[in-house]
Amino acid sequence: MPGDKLHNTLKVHRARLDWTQEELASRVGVTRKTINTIENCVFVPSTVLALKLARVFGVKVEDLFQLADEDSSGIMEKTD
Amino acid sequence: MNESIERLDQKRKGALKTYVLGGLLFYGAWIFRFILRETGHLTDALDYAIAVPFAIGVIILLYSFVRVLQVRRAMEKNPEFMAALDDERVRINILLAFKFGFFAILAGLIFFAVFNFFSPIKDVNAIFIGLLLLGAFAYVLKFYILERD
Repeated sequence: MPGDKLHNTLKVHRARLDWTQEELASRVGVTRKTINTIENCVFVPSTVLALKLARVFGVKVEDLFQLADEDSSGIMEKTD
Repeated sequence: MNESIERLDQKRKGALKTYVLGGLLFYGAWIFRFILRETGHLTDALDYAIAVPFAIGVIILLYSFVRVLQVRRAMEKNPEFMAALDDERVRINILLAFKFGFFAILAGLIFFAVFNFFSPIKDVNAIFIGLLLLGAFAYVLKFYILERD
């Protein structure tokens, strides 16, 4: 729905695997900027891309993306 | 592969930036000349002066067009490049840029309508060309803004 913010743990999972944004972008077939905008909650990915991201990290989509009102972990951080 | 995609993406952004610069010169000179001519203030000296930024704008536009074509050709040669550089975010940005271009044309129409109210336009063909140029320029400008880092 418009206005709903989708938080994500992309940066955390990237850090866990020691991947750069560029490396992750290459693994799911998008540009680095796309990964960057997803991490910064600027761009909401499609279901297909969300599934691809979850697959490369080996986690569930729900572990990767959460609606703002569901998120209470406080681990979201903006990246450059 | 990652670096090649990133390099090509940077090249595309560079080409768009060059196009915007060329478009500003070209379109700025064109609209300035149009207003002067329609209001009867265009002298020979002014016409020659305006021709300089206009010509520079055309050269820059042609140069950026060649660069865009080079990027496009490189993308078409490699399916991975094409998939990454034409991903879903880029496609959404293209749609947003088209929308912006459409509204720019509408705004241009309002401008010409108001202009015509105060000073009846003699060269109607110029309006068609002007609106087309405006739409194309607004599209690229918006796409560049959305794509820049």
